[in-house]
Amino acid sequence: MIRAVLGVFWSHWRRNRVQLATLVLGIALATALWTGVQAINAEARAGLEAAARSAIAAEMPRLERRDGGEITVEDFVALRRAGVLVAPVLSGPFQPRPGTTLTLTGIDPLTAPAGLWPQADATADPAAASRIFLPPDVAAGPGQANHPAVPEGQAIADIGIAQRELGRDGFDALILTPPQPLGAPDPQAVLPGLVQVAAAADTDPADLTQSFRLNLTAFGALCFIVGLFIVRATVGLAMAQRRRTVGVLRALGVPLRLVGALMLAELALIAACAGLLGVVLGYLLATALMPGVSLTLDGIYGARIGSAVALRPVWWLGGLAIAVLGTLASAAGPLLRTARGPVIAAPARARPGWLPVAAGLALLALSAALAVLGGSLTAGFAAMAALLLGAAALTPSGLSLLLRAAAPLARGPVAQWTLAETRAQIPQMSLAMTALLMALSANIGVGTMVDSFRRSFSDFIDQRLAAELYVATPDGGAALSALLGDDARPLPITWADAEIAGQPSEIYAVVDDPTYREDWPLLTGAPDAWDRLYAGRATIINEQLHYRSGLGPGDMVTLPDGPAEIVGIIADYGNPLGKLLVSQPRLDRIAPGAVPARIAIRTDRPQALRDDLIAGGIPADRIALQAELKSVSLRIFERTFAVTAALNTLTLAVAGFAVLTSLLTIADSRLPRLAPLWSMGLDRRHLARLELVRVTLSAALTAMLALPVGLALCWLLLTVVNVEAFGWRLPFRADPGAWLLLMGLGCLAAVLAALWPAWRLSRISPRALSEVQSLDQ
Amino acid sequence: MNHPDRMRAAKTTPQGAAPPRALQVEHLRKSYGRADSAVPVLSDVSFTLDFGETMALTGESGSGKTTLLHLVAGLDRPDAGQIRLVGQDITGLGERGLARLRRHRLALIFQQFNLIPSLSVADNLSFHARLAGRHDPAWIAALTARLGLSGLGARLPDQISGGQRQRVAIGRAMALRPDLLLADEPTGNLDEDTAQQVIAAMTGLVAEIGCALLLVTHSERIAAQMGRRLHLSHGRVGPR
Repeated sequence: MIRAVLGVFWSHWRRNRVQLATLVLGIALATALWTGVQAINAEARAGLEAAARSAIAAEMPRLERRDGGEITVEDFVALRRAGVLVAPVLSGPFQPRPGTTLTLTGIDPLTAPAGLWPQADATADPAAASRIFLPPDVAAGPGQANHPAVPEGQAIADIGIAQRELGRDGFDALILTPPQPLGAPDPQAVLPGLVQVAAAADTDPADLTQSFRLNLTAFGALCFIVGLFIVRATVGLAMAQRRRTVGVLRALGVPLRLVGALMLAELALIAACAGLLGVVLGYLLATALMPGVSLTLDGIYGARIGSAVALRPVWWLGGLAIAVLGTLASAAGPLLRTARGPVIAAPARARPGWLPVAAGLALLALSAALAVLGGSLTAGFAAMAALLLGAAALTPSGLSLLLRAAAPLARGPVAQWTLAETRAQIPQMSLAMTALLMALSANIGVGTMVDSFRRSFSDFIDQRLAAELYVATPDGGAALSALLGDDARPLPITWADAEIAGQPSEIYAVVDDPTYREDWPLLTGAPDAWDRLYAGRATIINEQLHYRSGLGPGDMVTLPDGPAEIVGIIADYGNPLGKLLVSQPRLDRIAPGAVPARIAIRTDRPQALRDDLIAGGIPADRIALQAELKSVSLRIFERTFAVTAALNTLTLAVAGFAVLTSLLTIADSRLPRLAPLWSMGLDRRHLARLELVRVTLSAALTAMLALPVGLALCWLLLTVVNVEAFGWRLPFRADPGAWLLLMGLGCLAAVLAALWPAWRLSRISPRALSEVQSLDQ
Repeated sequence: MNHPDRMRAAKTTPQGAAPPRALQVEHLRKSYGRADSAVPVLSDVSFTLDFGETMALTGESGSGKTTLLHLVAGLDRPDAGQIRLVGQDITGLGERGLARLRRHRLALIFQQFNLIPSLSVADNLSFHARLAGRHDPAWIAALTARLGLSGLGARLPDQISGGQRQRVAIGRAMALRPDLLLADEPTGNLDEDTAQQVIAAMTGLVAEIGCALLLVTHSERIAAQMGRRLHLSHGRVGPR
């Protein structure tokens, strides 16, 4: 009996091959987008974990030469003899083979702090000290060995080997190994030419990039949901078409449970096969996107990860599981309806009930509550999900309302029919249009956010890079000062790291120059903020510190040398740390001896001054013109959002595919509705054009509904998610041109999807149209 | 051509020449399938129908009644023979020409009503006439009243009974004032009393506007109410 029933089920797919192809492609696409994003996330996580190991050295306090030169072996020996526990480090470019360049770090495995040397026990394998350790993806030659603990782009060797390979005699720095013995002398007292460099602030890239990866996961989930709309539409139609068959089977004595179980098994099998295809597509997608993700993480957070994608069970097994579970979940409704239906099936009538409207309104209310009261990144994403799902639930009713409102505008019977038919077909098209609405909303929301960010960032760069020339000054600027004439105003950039209000922060000195008053606008603050700052008792903080510490204008903050009143807040996009601006004398008190690492120069003749400085002995690579810096900054910015743009486009493409599958699956049921028009004198091409118009109209109205949803999404991104994830709030920048373009693209995707069904209709045999009029409607 | 036009056409026919018939079918042949395995459906069918005349098309299932009706309506093309509608040979017309013909001169009524489900009863009634640019609100109002559809104008087709739907289909056809009305088992889905009312309404209106009616039916009772009868047997015109 099982075989006979399965034969009957299979005959449905044999006769409806387009439907089967649609189902398989829908599941495969949904799985591909989900697994692709998960593969990227897994790779990013693994890359960051490896990178974190390499960052240990940078996070430890170290000694460097004040003049930027090498530390000699004698210096090292002198400090060790004085009782200071130090370990030498050295790094430089290294080519394990032609065409491959790595950063070789030399470490003394016996004196280095735990965790720096790849092997846990440096004394266990004495031969290891003679090898150069390479990351797993670089082929090891003689004298080299691969080790999984070596991050991509890095190589690690004993300090002696590194000196030989790099052609150096001394060291870059000496790491102060914790804990130092009691009574150990001040190293700067032992060797006055050295300067102690504080530990880098605690900015774990894995923490910072979590928001980015959460963002990717959200996009993956959105794509998956849009893909499941395809599955839901196809399974729904297949089950509706099978209802009569199921009734006949039950009338012939097949138990209901067996019918239900076999339908489930059949769907699970299709989902597993399609899921496998999706996993392969997901791998290809991840491979294509990974270089962009790698650049993005580098661009935003400076986190270096690789661009290769490994087959990790965590995502491909997960992808298969979610393909089967997602398919069964999206098919549950139609399956239950079919299984629970009467033995002799009655034609089902789709009536938009009040439940979706009530659920939609409740979800929108939940979204608003989460946005206002949530106060966390997770709540921000939950608010976005609730907004999208609420809007999705309200889409059919919204479309119906718009079409009803437009009905009086129809002139002539054909226009009247088009509007009425579009409205009547909402139940059949609602899933596709909902998928389109979600994709368009995401595109409008994220696009507007990125555009707001781009324009704010561009303005910010214009303001912040006000000086015409920037010079790196490892010597503190002594050499530069002698070369500057009266026509150049130097603005030293000096800072010290500190923990302020529990947040890792930087305290910057600003000299009293019109540049700051004119070009560094405050987001909020007192009118005399700059005057009070220069007077030495006040500070201006960045937005990140404002949001994270809850401190604002009027509040007092404790600096290392005493309290200061916050008199203003400035934007500081792209900086993960808190920042405080104080007067130069105050920074001198906070960090005596701090010297400017860079000097900005205001001048009317930047190019000529640059030439003069080079002629005066400043290396050319230490000098940057304002235009060059702006160009580099904006290039990094564009690169940063390349992956987001790619995922946006993919989501829209999947929504277009959802429209196509919906149109293909309902194509047969359209004929009885079109045949009366044909018999009344509208030819097939005219009917095909009307079908195109109908789909375009649906897509245009969906786009109209997507606009407010997208803007609400953008608001959530700007005011909730960005603030929680990055610590800055961007001003909303409206770009109606871009919105219209996106709405047009949404319509274009729908029209492209409708072209093939319309073309098929324009060539359908007249006999099919005449015969359909004799059949049941 | 509506009723006054038809009168004018008859008056302007040259003296001695017979006025054009509503429908003239000559030596019509139609088969389905490929040439080597073609199944003949109609073989050498000829008949005429004048304005104001009603004809029942009868025959057993598979005799070719619906095929003949579809050929006359320009929904399908014959393999051979001629179909003249008010003197015009329609067999040589392209798709657009046939569509224009159906839009302006023919009206069809089907067993399944074939109303437009998304339009109201009132919109369905006027739809064909408006397509042809021949919308006459007074005539439609009269049709609505005569067909007993008053008060149903705002309803959708699936909100009225089968008999009412078929009356809407008749009203939609008659609102056009066609030259030829083709009806394919128009009472096949109705009970006998309702069927009788529908036929009475249809023949009354046909007589009033002076068009020709070709009606496919299996019912002897309905066939007997038509002016003439054409019986098809295995695709040929033959005796009952």
